[in-house]
Amino acid sequence: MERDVFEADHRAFREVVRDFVTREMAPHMERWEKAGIADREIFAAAAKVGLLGFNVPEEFGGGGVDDFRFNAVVAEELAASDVHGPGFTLHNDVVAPYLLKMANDEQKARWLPPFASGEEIWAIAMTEPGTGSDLKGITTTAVRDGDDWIINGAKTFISNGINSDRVIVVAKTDPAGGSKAFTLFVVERGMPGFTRGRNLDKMGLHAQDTAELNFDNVRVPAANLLGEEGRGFYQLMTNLPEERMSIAVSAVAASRSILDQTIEYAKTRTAFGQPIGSFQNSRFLLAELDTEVDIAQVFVDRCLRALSTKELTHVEAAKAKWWTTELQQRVVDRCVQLHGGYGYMNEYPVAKAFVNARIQTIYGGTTEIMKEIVGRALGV
Amino acid sequence: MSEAEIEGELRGAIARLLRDRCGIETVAALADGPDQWDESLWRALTEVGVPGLPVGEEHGGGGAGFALAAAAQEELGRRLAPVPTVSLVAVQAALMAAGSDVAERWLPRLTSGEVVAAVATGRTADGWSAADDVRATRGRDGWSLHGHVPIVADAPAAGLLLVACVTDDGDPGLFLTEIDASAGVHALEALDPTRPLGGVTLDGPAERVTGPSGHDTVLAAAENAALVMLAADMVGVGAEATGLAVDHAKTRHQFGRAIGSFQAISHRAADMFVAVESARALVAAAAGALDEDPGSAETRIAVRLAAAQAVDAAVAATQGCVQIHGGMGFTWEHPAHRYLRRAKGAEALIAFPDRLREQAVTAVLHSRKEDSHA
Ligand SMILES: Cc1cc2nc3c(=O)[nH]c(=O)nc-3n(C[C@H](O)[C@H](O)[C@H](O)COP(=O)(O)OP(=O)(O)OC[C@H]3O[C@@H](n4cnc5c(N)ncnc54)[C@H](O)[C@@H]3O)c2cc1C
Repeated sequence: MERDVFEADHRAFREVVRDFVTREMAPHMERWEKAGIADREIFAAAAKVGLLGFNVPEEFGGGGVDDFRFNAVVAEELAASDVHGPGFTLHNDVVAPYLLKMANDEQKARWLPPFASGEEIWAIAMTEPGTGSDLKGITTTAVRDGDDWIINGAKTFISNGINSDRVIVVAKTDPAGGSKAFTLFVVERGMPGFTRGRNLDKMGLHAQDTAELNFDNVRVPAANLLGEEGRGFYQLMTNLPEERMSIAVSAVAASRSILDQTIEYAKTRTAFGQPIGSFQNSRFLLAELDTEVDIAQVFVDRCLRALSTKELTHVEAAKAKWWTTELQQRVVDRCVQLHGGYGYMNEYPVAKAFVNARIQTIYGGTTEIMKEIVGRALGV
Repeated sequence: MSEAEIEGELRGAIARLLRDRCGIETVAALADGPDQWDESLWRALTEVGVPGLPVGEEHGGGGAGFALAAAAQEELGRRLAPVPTVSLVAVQAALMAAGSDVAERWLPRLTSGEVVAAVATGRTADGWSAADDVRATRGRDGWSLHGHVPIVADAPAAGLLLVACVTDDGDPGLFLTEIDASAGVHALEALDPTRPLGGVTLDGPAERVTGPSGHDTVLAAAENAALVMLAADMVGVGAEATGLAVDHAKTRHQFGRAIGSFQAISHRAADMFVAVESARALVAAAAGALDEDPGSAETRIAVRLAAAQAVDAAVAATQGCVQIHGGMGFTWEHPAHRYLRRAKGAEALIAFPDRLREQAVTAVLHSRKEDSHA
């Protein structure tokens, strides 16, 4: 089905992105997967051709376009090629909105130029060993000491955790708790007491660094407080639509890509003298998946348009996130099946797509939490 | 002792042995390392008679039948044991059904665990068939096999291969040929490293187990046995994954309470449990049918329905296990992915549930037709 959400600029941008992904990233994936991390230089190289920082204002060295459809193009092209390596979407879709919406002028001048040029890599650290879904359970603390804050605690599962130069850390600033107890801080590489734990080995996404971070009496100047003291929780909430749409967009693009590859396989692989796709069971299965992926695409595109005009609600984003990522599970599961024994070989893209997809219903808010959000909005 | 007591003792003995020798750290180290299977565990299992369970005492086996072999396999599945019992039992079943001299000669060596055997066949929508690219040729000194089978489960562990292929005359035949993991077997990197796969190149002497007349019966015996054993393995995998998930749901707290107290989690765990329990019952029935009436249409149906349910249950339970563990379930150090891999691997390799159900339905319709003719 023809997609009508993109315009000529987006289509031209897609060419650039696709070219970069195929030429500069895909060939390195195997090495990055072995290393458990991508080369940090790829951020600057990607920024040079406009894959990163396009949504940062021009005065700070960015592209100056505030239109989430460009973010979607990058997310889609990476997902379609299963190039999950460096956390580009984390930069564009998650970190950038925080900095653009919450940093003050001094901070913008300090942080945005190297962010936009890809020289500095960012991460965001909310999850802790004891708390993931329930962010109010965060126990990392920040205590004021003169003009500074002293941060103590541990974070885990942090994407870009090893490569990052600056990390947005959610910490508790009011021991009494409640939703006004949290504040965001930017912790920098080299600050005494800030150390990295293990680069976690995972079921999939091997080229992405996902790490533990430790904070032992880390002294952070007040100038690195992002947004307002005690507003951290609300700030997290306002930025969730972007993160969730980023995942939803990737889910549909990855589903479409692996489904198309599987359809091709079903046409060319023969059994009993006919292509396997011509057996009715396989043909109907492919028909069902193709239909569902089209339907998902239409919904996501509609959300995308709403997000590009800042009209998307967090409930709509939650719907998109859970439904598309659950669809992706079904798609990769069936596609492995349709590949027969070969789908089970690690060398086939479908085997990788299967394990890489598995995290999608968990991070960025689990399916269960998404349904909580949608359900509560119904008043039930 | 009653049958249930015997089964209980057997399960207990294997579970104890596996607790010592096949902990999750051992499995993880093996799966992530260069070894293709756990040979020392295999020797320990051999000492307690596991490889000979289904084989009759006249061939040196335990005479315990498929029912107990399946119970043992469930315990092995529970611990993700990287040993080739499923393939071995399939070959044993074929040899028992064949009853030929060749079969009689090899069975004791398979029963004692001295030789590990695996199965190389082709695969069609109706099940196992002749391997596509292998030919059997009769020469002056006997039979020889030539060709290639791209994916053979447990080949890297095997010294003997049961091969279904066509002869130069165009007849179907089943052959045994010795293989050597260091030559002719190309280890493949698979989604599930606890069940090694190999591509096998054949170019050497073979013995014929059965010619065209016995071919279908013998191949069906092997396939039925493989499906039942794999299904039992899946019951173990699904049960353990459910257990892990339930333990986590009881101890992990979010929003001030155990996550298992949220219906989304408790209902999912309940569904996993019910699916696995139904599978266990179906597998027990199918294994019993194999012992009592191996060649009947009812057995063919029971085996396929059990395998379909067991594979579906295992995939659902292992997926649920990942989801209930949240982010931790996606890490390499947590075993959730190993269970998911084993379940998904079983599905991809041997038992597509929808095909199995289709085969079962075809058998049902076929037997109805025969009834009405009679
Ligand atoms: C590869 C990867 C990258 C990640 N990147 C980042 C990152 O960059 N920054 C960051 O901060 N975090 C990151 N995370 C963490 C991720 O966001 C969390 O794992 C996720 O939010 C789930 O939290 P949890 O793992 O603690 O699971 P838990 O919250 O413990 O949940 C366990 C299970 O309980 C269920 N559950 C919990 N509460 C309820 C409820 N009320 N009702 C019903 N069910 C419930 C969940 O849905 C889940 O199934 C990443 C994780 C991974 C694996």
